[in-house]
Amino acid sequence: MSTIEVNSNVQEINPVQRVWAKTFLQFVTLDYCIQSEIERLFLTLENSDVVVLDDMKNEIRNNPYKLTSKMISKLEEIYNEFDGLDTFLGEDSLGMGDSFLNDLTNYYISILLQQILSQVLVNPRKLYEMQTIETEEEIKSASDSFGTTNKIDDDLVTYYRDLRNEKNKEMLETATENSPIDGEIEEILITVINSIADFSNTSEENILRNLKASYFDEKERENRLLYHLFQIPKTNDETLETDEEIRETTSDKYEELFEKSGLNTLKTELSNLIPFDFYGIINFDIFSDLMTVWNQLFQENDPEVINTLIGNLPKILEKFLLSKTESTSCCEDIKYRHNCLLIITDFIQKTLTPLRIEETSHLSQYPSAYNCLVSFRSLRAFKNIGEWHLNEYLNIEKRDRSRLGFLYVCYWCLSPQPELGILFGKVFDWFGKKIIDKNYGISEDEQSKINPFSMFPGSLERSIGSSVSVIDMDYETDKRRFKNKESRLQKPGELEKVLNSDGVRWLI
Amino acid sequence: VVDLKSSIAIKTPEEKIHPIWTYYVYTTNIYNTMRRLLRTLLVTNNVFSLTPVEDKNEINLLLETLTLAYPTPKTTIMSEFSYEQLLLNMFHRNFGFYSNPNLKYPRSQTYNSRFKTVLESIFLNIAQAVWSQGSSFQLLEDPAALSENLNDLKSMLISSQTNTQDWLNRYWVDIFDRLLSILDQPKLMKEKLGIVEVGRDKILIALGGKFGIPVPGDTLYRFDLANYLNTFLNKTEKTDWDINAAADLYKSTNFFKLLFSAYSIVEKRDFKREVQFIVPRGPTIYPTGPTVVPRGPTVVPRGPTV
Repeated sequence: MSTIEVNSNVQEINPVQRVWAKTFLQFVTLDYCIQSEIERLFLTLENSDVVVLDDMKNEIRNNPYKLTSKMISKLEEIYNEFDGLDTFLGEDSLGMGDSFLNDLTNYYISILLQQILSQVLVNPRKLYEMQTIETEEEIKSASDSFGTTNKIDDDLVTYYRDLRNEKNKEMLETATENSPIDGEIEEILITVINSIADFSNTSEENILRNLKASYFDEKERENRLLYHLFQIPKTNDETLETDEEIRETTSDKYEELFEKSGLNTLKTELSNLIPFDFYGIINFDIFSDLMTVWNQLFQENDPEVINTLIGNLPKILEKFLLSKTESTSCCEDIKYRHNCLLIITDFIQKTLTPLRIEETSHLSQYPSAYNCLVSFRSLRAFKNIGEWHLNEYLNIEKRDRSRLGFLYVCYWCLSPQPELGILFGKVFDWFGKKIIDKNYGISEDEQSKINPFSMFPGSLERSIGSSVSVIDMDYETDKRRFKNKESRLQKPGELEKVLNSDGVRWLI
Repeated sequence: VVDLKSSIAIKTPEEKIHPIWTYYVYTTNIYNTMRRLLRTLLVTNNVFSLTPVEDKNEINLLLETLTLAYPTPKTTIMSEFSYEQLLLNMFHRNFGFYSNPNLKYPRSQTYNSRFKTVLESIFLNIAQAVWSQGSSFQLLEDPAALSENLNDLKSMLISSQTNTQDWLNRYWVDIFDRLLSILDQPKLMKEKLGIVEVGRDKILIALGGKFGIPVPGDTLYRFDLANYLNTFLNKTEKTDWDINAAADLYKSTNFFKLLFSAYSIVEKRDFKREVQFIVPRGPTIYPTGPTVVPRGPTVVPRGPTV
């Protein structure tokens, strides 16, 4: 199914909301990576003496974000076995020890990055300000020369990037109250600022923000990441039996996710800091210094986007009910409207449970990075115990993808085009043809005729179609806008910034 | 033939807040109240006192407001009048308000004198539809007239908001937003000024009482009305009105009921009452012949008395 480009006007999208949505996708990516890494770490060799007990497996399933001392000593056993094997095989070694260390490093990096991102999720405007440079002239879309390359001049991008890095260094120094920062940490933090909410790995998107020329590249990268994160599982996926098989299939999978989410540069730089041996990784402590400085940058919480999110979530089902299916001669959508409504109602009821809505509204009332981690972490949460591998999690037979659905809905709400058709199309695919045929009474032939966009026209923001009282929704939107602005204006120093950004400073 | 489309095709800015919002917030006298509060801050400590370390944030907040909300004009043209006068000029141009000739502010020759008439005729039309909805004997919906009126309103609003109006309005919206957010500062209001009222309107009234500035008692409804009319007029400006679009408006009954109730309190025109008192009756019989209207007492010529 092709996605129709409904709104390609970048200017209309609230940039801070955009930063949030992209950061959120990176956050979810890291969750995948963490699950995948820890899964690989505890894989043992066949016929080996080292066995991971079921008790510990359960414990890891419940909380893959923290390694207890028992787990670490188990990891040590596993590593020693691998290392011994490598030494024994000499030249022909499979490099299992190295790949183990690699996974361990990446695990720690993923955990750290998730903590870093959680700060941004609570205060996206801060990051937006750090990524934006105010200069006299804007970056113009084409190069001056006649040899048009359909690309922005690289020198120009580099120039702006340098300008911004200088600004951010100053900002870091002010945040730490002019006490000197370790050079390594400063460099890393600059990379962090450049990499968040940017899928290009070169901090291109942040600099070229609001530029139509780069919009479609950006969109494509985002679509690719979305595909990988929320992909539709294949029906004939064979279940993987032994640990060896899993190790082979899942290798490079999460590395690819790092690349797709634009965190690759950052990951490489971070792993260069860490010594490459087991005890070195376990006892490594530069990360805590990094977090200290980062937290100093984000001292205020300004959950404007989370407020928007919590305002939107309860409205979704209503929007679907209000959206009016047009009956045209070419498609008979209206015939299956009731069935489709049942599908979407089931999905929403499973996904947006009262508990989750409550959790999110708690987050908007008491915004903190910690609460953010609690709310958006763990793809595995609320799932039956006994599902161990990520592959199985995506397996079509185990249909409870509600947590994944929740994360997707969060992203969809804040995406530039929250078209009802996009969400419905996704849900339709997730449910699968067989299930829909069996439980919702649309035969597989008929299913292919359904067009999600004409079934549920309109979007979360405003609905097309004449059956809706649109002005009530406009009023809610206006109210939210006032609220956002007021929450900004409550702090000293903000008024001048707001006046500046509104372009009315000339008056005074 | 006047080409209505060409004036209607002018685009409105995104994220716009309508000058009507500024108007109703301004009428609560919040600007003068805050002016007195800041004046007190500068010259005396007998109303409240802020300490330099503990209340650093509050002082910064107020000082920033002082410089940006009550500035001196920069250019010689601007110094002929104050910013507040420029605001009155905006209300006069856009809505025809403040046409009292005794008020001193720079005036434009052209201004929107019909705004209120058209707006109220739209409201009456909607009110009739809203309160006759589902009626079994009389449906008063008239979307055709409504769409005509809405187009009229749209074109007059869009064509009057030209030149610097948009920037001026944004400036005042930001300023008023800041002033409103100061009312929300519990530390300043409760601990320092001793105002225990809840809600912006109540706090503002209490503040006005403290500084001797009259704040209207219906301030709450003014804030409400500001928000409702802001949405309504923004929608009016952004929509291409036709009969269907106009008929859709009738469906937002709750929105309009709230709007009308606030309007009746602030502007003293109650559409609900007006609609209720239309009594259904038979066809009106008009008199056929020309009616002779007596014009004053008839003077009977009198002959000279003997």
